[in-house]
Amino acid sequence: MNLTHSTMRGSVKIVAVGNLDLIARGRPAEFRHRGLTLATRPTAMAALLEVGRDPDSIVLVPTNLNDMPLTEFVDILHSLAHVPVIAGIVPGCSAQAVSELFDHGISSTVALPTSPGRLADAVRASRTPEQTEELVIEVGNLTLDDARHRVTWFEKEVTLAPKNFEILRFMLVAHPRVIPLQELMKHVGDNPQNRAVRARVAIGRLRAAFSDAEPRHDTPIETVHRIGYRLRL
Amino acid sequence: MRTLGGTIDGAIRPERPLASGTNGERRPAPLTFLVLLWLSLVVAFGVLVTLIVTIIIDGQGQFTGRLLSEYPASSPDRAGARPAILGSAWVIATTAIMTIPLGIAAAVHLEEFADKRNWFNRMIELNVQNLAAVPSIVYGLLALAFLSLLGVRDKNIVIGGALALSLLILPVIIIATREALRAVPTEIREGSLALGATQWQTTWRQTLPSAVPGIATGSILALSRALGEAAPLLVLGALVFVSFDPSGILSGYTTLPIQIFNWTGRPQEGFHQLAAATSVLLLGVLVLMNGLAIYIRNRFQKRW
Amino acid sequence: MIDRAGEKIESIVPHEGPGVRINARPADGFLPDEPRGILQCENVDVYYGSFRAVTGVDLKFGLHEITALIGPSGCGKSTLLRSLNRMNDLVDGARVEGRVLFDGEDIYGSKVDAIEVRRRIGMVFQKPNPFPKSIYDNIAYGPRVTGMRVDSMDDLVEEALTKAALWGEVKDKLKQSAYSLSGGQQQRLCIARTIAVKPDVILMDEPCSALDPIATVRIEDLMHELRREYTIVIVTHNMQQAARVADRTAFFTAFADEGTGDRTGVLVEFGKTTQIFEHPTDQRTEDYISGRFG
Repeated sequence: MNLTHSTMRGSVKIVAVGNLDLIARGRPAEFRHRGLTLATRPTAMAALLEVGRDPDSIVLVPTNLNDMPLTEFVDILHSLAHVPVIAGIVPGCSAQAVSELFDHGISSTVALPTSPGRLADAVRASRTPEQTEELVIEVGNLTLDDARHRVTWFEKEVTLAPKNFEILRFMLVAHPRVIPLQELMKHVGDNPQNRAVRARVAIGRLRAAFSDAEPRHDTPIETVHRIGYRLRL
Repeated sequence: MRTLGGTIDGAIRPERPLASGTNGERRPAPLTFLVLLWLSLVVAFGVLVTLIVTIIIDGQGQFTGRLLSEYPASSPDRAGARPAILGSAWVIATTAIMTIPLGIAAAVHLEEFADKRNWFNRMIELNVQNLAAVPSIVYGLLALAFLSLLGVRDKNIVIGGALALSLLILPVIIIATREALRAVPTEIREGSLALGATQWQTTWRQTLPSAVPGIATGSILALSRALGEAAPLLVLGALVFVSFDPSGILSGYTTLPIQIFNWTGRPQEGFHQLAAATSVLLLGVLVLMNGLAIYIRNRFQKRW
Repeated sequence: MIDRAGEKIESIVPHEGPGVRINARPADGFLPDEPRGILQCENVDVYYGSFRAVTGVDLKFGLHEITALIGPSGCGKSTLLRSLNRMNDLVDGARVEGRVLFDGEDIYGSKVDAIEVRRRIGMVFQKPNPFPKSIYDNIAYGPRVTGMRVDSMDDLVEEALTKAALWGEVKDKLKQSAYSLSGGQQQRLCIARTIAVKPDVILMDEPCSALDPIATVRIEDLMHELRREYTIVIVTHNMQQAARVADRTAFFTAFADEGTGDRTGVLVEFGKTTQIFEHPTDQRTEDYISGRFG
């Protein structure tokens, strides 16, 4: 994962089972800085109650949980509210145990005690695809991730200026329709002068960006003569 | 997207840390090459220094005012190089007057006006290049033949020597001038022509003035080459013993290299010392001329 | 059509007179459908030796209009520009076929003096090329060499520099070397130098390609000003620049000769700039202006 913590939005509540000292390395403020609010509960039951109150949280459970079988705890959480579970690996835990946990549906693991950065990574990994899918438009070999302002074309990153990114997103939303030049001209900024040229130049820049990113494939923007442009994906 | 150590069409650049603790220039092959370069420099420079130091030591006893003011004599104690100094001055001045305008004119024609795709112009160009490499004695013979054709009986005259030396340095001046003209950007010529100036106005008012430093440098270097030449003048029968001052372009003369040549051939040790002293004098003049050329080049060099 | 345009030229060319300045363009934005061609190409081919660089160009450059020549590299637009004031004569082996009419007269006619053609049709180059002289002498050079009768050279220099929007910046250092100016100022000096010989047409060969964006904007503003008095033809690679400054745009492209593989430039489309960018009639134009090649 090469995402940075700045892409996370808001704060994620982590319900952790056990003693704060055994779970976290670093002050709570450092975790909050990463967008993580740690709430520790001494027992599994107390943690379940807390999750009941706040179903949006993520549970961090150490592998040496002692007041109930670990797999059972994970199953309860999933059947209750599809709460993601991160397993906190403590020294001495067997690989077989971890793989068993994955079978029961935990989303990621982290070594305990954990630093704020590692935990943030684990939290990101635990996010289910359903939670981010609506922000990503994917057509054929072209992917546009709106939240991260990223475009990939045949898995190569395409570097785009914000204006051109807007135009590509507009074209992707309209796909597979042909977009008339007049319509494209509305998306090239507020300046009323030379809109046609700026729209054409933006298309030119998009094409250049695509062929810079992946010269082996033709750019996906097709000119429909005397009408406009469309994406061919 | 280019990433560090990334691949371009499948080619992978081996990743070496920047701080590898080694120096790429200090590996055996580059180091050997560097040492060889230094050795050649030391050898060349060593020979030169030895030569100059020897001459200076040999000539120091004779490096007096007498060398400049006296005429050659049968005794080394009374002899001087006055006629040779004046003779050199006369010959070089005459050469300069004859060669520089001609050389510049030829170069301007070849560079600015001649159609470079014409075979005749290309042939001339090639010949000029080659002539610069012809041994100097050949020019002496050429001048000799020319003077004989004209029916000049006494060929040891200033104008005769200047003719031989002019032939010798003309190609050098042409080449230097062409280089200087070529260094003037085409944009300057085009800018002038686009304003409605003629080719002639453009050359005269823009190109040539801009090329003057280069032309001056090249001409001075060529003249200093002519100053050191003895062979073509000897072919023309230059006198080795002159006891009068040259008085005009038809006067007899001798020059510094010929005087040195003469004195070196004498048996007396005193004459050898005189020759050494005169060599130092000639060297000094050459260094001054080259220094002047370098000064002009640096002072007036145009940065476009 | 051509005859009618010819008649219009007669009535529009400003007659000599004190302070009379006839603006051919009633208002910005008004542009006749057909250019009143002061300079006109009729079936022009340009050759370098046996290599045909441009072929079959028919173009009219409208009086007091700015015409942009655009197209991919090697499409012959600069070559064509240089043939409009016989700058190509200086290239060994270059020749022009067809006719280039200036005010109805073929500039390649047998009795035409190329020197006078270049005075009447000036040129500004890609790289600013001031002479290695003072600012004053740069301006005065043209009038001097062309033997213009000038009452006061000082006034002429001031007028040319004022028109080129440079006077305010250089009026206190006219005796300084032109090389002391910035790149953008040097280019405006070159424009002033061209204006000083009082041409009718100014050709500009990518005049902003060596300049920074701010200097570029100043040159473009200047072109808008100059359009009132001069006819301007500009070669540019920058389509936004073409759209910003040009009244009409000509799009060129090159096709490869099947036998020799030489690339020859052709005029694809010519029209009002807005029309070229909004409704190009040729697919190649549309492809080029939206980055399909070049």
